[in-house]
Amino acid sequence: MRDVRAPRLVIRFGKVTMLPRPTFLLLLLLCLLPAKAKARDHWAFQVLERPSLPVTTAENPIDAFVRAKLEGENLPVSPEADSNTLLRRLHLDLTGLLPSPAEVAAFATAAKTDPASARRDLVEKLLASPHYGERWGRHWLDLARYGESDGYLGDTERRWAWRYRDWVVAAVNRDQPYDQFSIEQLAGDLIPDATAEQKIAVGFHRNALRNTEAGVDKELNRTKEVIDRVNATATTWLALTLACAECHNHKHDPLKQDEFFSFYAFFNNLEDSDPTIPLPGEMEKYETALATWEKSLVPLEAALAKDEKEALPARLAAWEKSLVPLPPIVDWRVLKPSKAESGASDAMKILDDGAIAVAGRSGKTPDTVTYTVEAAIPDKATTISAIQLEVIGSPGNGREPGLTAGRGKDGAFVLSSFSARFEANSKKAGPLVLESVAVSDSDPKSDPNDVLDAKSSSGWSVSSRTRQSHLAVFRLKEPLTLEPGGRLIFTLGNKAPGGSSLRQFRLSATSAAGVREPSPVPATVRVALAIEAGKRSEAQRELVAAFHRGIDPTWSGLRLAIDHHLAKAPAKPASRVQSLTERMEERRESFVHVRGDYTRRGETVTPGVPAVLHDLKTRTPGATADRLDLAHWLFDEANSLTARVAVNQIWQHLFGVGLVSTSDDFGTEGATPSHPELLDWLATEYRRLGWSRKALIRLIVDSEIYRKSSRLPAGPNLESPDNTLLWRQNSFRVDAEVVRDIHLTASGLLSRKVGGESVYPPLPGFVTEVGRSVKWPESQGEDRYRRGLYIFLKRTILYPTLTTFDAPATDVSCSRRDRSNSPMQALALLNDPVFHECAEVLGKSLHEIHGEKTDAAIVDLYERCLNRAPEASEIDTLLSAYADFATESDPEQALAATARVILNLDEFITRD
Amino acid sequence: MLNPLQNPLQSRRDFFTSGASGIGALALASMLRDDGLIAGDGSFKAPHFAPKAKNCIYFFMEGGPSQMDLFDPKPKLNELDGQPLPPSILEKAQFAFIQKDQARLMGSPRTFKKYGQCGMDLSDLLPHLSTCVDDIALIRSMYCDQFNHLPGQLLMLTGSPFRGWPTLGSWLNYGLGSDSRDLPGYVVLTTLGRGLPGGSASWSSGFLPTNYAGSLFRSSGSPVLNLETPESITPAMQRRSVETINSLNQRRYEQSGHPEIAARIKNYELAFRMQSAAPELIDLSGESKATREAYGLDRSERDSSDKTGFQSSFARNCLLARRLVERGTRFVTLFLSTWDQHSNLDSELATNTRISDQPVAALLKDLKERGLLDETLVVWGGEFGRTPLGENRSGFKTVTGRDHHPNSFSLWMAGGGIKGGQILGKTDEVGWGVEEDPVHVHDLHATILHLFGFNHEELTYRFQGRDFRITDVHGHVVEKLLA
Repeated sequence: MRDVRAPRLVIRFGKVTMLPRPTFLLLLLLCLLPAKAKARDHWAFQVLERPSLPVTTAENPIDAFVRAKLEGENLPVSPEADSNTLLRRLHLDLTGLLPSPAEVAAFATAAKTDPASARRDLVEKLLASPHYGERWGRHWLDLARYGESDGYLGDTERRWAWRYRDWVVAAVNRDQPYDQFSIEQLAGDLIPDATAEQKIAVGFHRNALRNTEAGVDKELNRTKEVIDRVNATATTWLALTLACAECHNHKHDPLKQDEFFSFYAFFNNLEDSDPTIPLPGEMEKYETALATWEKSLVPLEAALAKDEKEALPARLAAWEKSLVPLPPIVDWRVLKPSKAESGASDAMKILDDGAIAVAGRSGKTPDTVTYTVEAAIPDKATTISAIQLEVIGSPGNGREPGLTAGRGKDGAFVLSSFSARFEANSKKAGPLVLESVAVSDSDPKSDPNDVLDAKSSSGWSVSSRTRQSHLAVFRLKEPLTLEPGGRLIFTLGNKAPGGSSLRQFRLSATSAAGVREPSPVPATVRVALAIEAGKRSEAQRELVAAFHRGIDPTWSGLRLAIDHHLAKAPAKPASRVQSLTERMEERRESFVHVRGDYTRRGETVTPGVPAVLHDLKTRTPGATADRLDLAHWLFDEANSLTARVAVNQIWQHLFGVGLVSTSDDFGTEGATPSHPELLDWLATEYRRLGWSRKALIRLIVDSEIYRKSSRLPAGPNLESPDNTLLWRQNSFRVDAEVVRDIHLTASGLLSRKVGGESVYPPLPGFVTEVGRSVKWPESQGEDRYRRGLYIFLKRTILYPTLTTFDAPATDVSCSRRDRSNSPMQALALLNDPVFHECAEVLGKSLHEIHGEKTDAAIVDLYERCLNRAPEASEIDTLLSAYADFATESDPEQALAATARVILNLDEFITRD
Repeated sequence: MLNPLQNPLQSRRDFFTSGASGIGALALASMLRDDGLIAGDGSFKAPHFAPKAKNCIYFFMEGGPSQMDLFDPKPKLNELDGQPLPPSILEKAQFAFIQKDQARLMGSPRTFKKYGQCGMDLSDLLPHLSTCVDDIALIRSMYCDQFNHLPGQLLMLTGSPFRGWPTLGSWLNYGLGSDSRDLPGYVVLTTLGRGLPGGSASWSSGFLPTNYAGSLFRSSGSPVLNLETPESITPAMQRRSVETINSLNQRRYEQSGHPEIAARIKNYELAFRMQSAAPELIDLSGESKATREAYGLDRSERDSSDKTGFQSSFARNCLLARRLVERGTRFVTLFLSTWDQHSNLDSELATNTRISDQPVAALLKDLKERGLLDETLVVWGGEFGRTPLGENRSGFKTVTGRDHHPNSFSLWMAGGGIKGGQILGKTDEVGWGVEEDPVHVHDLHATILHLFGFNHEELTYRFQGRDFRITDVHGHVVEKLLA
């Protein structure tokens, strides 16, 4: 038996992490920072001041700090990277895509005349590319633990989670200042008159895992979501491991527990909010479509109005005349159902007038179905000689579409069988013997008598004039007197495939003798017709007119055209957003969870920040602080962490490792900065630049150190000189999504579509089988070739090629990915079907362009994939390999195999 | 031109030293370091003393098997069935779900008999294991300090209750390298009931290099994703491709000097060899009918009550474990995650032993017959035991299970230098605490490392300025367990 648990939620402390468990939470002292005295001495809590620049000849202040640090160190001097390497580096770092051979050539030419301006132009071009936002948005999504399902058992999908992903990409692309970018994500909903975009931004914290498994302790799991939000906030903006699991393992003094719960209190009144917010352009598109649709409705309505005014009255009069003499009145008594059931999962609603309205659950119509209806016999004995079935339809009126009698195509229905039996404690109990059936109307080819043959799947079918009622009268062989207390049970079957079962119907019975056929008019209309036309009441006139309209072919035809048009009305945008909002009613009080157990209520706390950090100011003096105050607090001048943490994250993405290597931990257990002054200078510079991410990136990539070669000095050194002091660039394998993206770019398969719903590239069956009833609707067309960040992130079945290359598990905020190197990666690059498709497409394209000129194809391949020209020996190696491949396959496939070699090179997946 | 794949038998060390344009000393050192053959200071690493064990098969019985229903008979507990524990014990006790006030001792319905020459008493649920007792050292005095699954499992697997530490299999591969050139040195096989709370943390290499992490094999079909070469690539082309890739990578390595490239070369070689070795590994057609019968490979098909197929899945994993060890895989972990009996203890325990007893015993005998048991250490155990108290969880109508119990539990070991036919340690009369020869998880790890020729205090890895070891600052070798 499984106990209550939260297997994915991880609470981090220092370098170690573990899972919170209910009992485990007994010990869960959420400790934060070392005690104040010690903490005040800790570098990360020192007031952030702008250091003065070391005196050097460096142009870029970054280099001044780097050079100053290198002085006196016996480290090699690394040259600037060659222009091809730099071009590829900038493309990979800023957009995560490869330059095209044409871009390579253009850059080489430009760099020859003026390398600095060529480089700066390139940087501007890349920063302006929509793919920049995809690349840097994806970095942010790691911190946001962005996923598109709940996690845990069941792993319910979050249909609209991608709206937040698109918001991030767009915000990064428009270079929304980091303070606003952050404030909107933490508290966009609390900003007065919050915009739709600000509400989407709050999706940051909607990304918490959720356990909806049956039987879970809901409040316990809610507290876990809150703890995750505390944690993700701390990791993302403060690089603090706010929560820790077992304090006795913490070698430093813990922060007071009430301080943790004060921070917790900021997030304790969050609630899901899924507002309808149209997609960009969706409303405009809808309004345009609506206007067009309205326009084409006008002539249809005019035609109907014209007929009603000019021709219909005459037809009504003629019809009335045709009914003379009036048919006899039959006393049909409605058999009020006590119970109605469908053999499929239909909802059967019994209406006040005794009719039964059928609706498929979640809009589904069963292919074939049998209904069972029970009607209790009233208090006194009732004699019946015939039963009438009304299959009810009605014409539309104004903007209301009509109701169809059946559930089939355009309202068609088929009744395959009809039977009735009497259930009672009497000898009369048993099936009713039906002698004949007569119907008001039927399709020419159908024989309603088949209804009495239980075996037949054909029967009474009506497929036109479906927006009016149709009647069937079943005559009993012998009149039957039914005792009170018994029940009539009717079975109405539709065995003809196609979903043509009845949509709304009513049963009645009569004791009148000799009734064999349905009356041409209902009893109420019959009564009105008996009155002289001029003497009828208004209601009676309308009753007659309405009934006539319903059966008048001309009017019905005109009305049907309107109904058909109504069905085509453009749907109002229903796109939603999965966000959060502050609970205003019945607000939860926050209190210390004694020993981490939420059921053990400790001292009540109000929202606040740890005393070791700077003071929190509220917008309204004296008011209780809220998330918006907390968000502002992060960007307060006095905050020593936010700016340092943010520039370190950016640095990490441009050098592979941060100035503080533990970008997720600026606490005393974390690493100390390699260049503290540089870190502080950059942090103050980020503020000075108005928190412009693009400006900061521009500054860093323009530095000499960014542009240096990453190569290690030649020689037999066992230990390569450490690069902590930054004497060269770093070389590292590209991120998981980029591994995919550059395959797609090099092969030309990449779809450059930005944003939108996530995609489902092909997956082997066994990957999806591990989940419970996982749906993976394989994408078609260009969606198969979208960038890695658009692959649907279902938490229990993460796309394996991404996880093989260390994409994060999405369960907790992740500021630093692993960078592993495994045989599984080699197998993926060699054999993964998507990667192989890229090689084949490349082979085909090269063959078309270069034909038998293999050496030219190899040069082309190098330019497309590695963005440089091959050296002679490389060409030789590949020509020799190609020759061997060509003995086993045709030239095109041999070229594909050659391309596959290039796509497998370490150089291909490495950002040098 | 250097051709590392020309001779598949040529070892990597040869490859790097013999080639005229060889990668050179730097690459060799880096790669050997990856293999764990040399330490960070460049000296070759070797066991500290002659090892008894070469390989390890670890049965990780996730959830906490109930020791008093399997390994540790407690007649007194049966006698006191329904009685409360003395308040002095209860006061200090910590539970996941038991409500202390009404907690009552719960006897075991199992019958125990003495087996083998050593006279080891085992439960009637272990008829197969009872025929192997003379090879087994049963420890009845295990204890730990973690009473929840994941911390307990991580402690047992890594020596630390937190995520981020290397598992035992990673340490041993780091210390000894792998003897398999074609298969990973550390393989994980799973029969997942409720799943593993730690997921891949259960075979993580923690702060050790990632090539020491366990490789999770799928339990059916192709064991590893992307193992099959695309259709249009013939075996000769695949071979030529890998050769060309590595030759170009090597060139790049010479130019840039990044050790990552050397590791990638190595991974392509291993990947290439795995492509033929892994299908051969899982192809059981060469196994005799007698072997299939002994392991019970086809039991699920015969037992209609086994709707999960766990009987066959676990049996297959046991047989694969032997085949892996035969092929030089250093460490195999078999997870069976079905042992958390908070309720329905009697029936679920019977199900679990029906799954595991026969194939585990078959594996022990098979290893012995093939002369592999002497060098293969087999360990069987969970992360903790279960309470002698019945679990009266609020909301439970009846008491039919036991809660987590770190204070005392049982675990057994066999082969690989273990002195079989012995029972180590003793618990008190109701099985609450350990009375004799307590063995902490750290002591177990120290002993296992000892069997592999390592002083647990000296097998270390420097990380963030500190030398880490699996036993942290604890651990004593349990001499009584050694042959």
